[in-house]
Amino acid sequence: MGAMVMSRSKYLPGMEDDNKPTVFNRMDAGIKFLLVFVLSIMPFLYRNQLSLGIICAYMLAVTLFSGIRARFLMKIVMAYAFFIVLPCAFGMFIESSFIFTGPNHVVAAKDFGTAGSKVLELFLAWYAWSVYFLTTPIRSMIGMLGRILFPLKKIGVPVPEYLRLVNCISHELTESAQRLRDSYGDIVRSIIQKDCRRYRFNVKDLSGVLVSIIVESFSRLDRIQESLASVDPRDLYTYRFRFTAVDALAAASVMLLAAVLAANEKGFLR
Amino acid sequence: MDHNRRLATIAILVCNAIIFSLLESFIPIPIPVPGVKLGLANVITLVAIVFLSFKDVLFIVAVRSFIVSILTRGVLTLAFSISGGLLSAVVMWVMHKKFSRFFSIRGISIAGAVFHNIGQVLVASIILREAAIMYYLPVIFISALITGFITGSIGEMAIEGIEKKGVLINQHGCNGDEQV
Repeated sequence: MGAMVMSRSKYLPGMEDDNKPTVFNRMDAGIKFLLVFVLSIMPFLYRNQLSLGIICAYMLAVTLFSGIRARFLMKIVMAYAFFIVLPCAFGMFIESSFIFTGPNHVVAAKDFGTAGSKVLELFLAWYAWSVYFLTTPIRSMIGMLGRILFPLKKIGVPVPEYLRLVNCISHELTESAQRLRDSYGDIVRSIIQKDCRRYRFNVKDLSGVLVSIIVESFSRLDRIQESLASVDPRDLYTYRFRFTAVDALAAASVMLLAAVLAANEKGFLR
Repeated sequence: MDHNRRLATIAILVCNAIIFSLLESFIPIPIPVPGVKLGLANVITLVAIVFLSFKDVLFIVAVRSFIVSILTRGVLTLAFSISGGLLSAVVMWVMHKKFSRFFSIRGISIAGAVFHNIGQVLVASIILREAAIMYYLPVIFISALITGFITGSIGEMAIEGIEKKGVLINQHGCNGDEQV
């Protein structure tokens, strides 16, 4: 349960922002968003294997430069393996079992290579966005969303209302997690630590705790309602566009990467 | 329901859904199957379907998917999580509002779990441009029957508890016995 508690940091958990803000923390959230968007589509545009290798090297450099905790990144890699790689490998295995019994062995081998490339392309995009969310303050993201979603406001979607709600959720989440740890931490820990052979019993115990959590959480309804009424949506738009030397450097590095990849695709690097 | 009260209810349900999703990663599953999880956040979707409007249910699922994706699994899981979540919410909503005479909360939850997985696998096959991942569907169908039953049972108890406490009013204006 301890790891479940949300960080009170203005960043998402995983970023070492307290003592040593990195160069990525100082970047403008909007420019960073644009650069990450470009980076995340790059792996899908280039067909050459070496291009993927160059993008991998660039991402690795970004990771080393950003000072992101290795533990958090490992979680992202493990999640990717669990949700994408293993199911995909299972499907490929079943499919190849059928193909290998026929005359198309070569086709099957080629498909494995293609599928591997696709999995790597998706991982690179996955990784780029993870780095963005690890190094961007939550309020900057909310403010930027307020500006990006400006056209929706024009057609009558209550964007400020939703952003006010998201802001309330981010505050409430920290308090809820803390309160849960204090009230239910020991009970949940004891249920989870039970022997796996008694899983059925675990589920029954856990159900009781979860139902209590849900029902109890509504005791805060009035307080949250008052807190929501006191927030002015205009106070949330703290994001201001600024273009610094760091942003210029980052943009230049992405453009250089694009140029190197284009040169590679044209065959100049071989 | 008063506007701010409605927003406060949504905030509470989203927080609970996020906490349940995070809590889930600490629960050991006897036989871990790749791509399969208990789906405790589905309990909150069930509660929302019974007590809130369709728009609010979709908002809760979208915000929960977004926050949990960036906190735990990497932001690209958002595509899988949100597609599965929204598809299952739509299916469960239709089943509860139109066919509640035929389906209990547990049945609705099982259908939701199945469609959640269908949505995720469809998106995965589109993004990866790889139809082979569809071979995985039978595995996750079977697991959805089990996980849907578990989350449905918890959801049923939670709905009953909320109705007893009287903090929220059922969208049908009836009590849990009639609903289930």
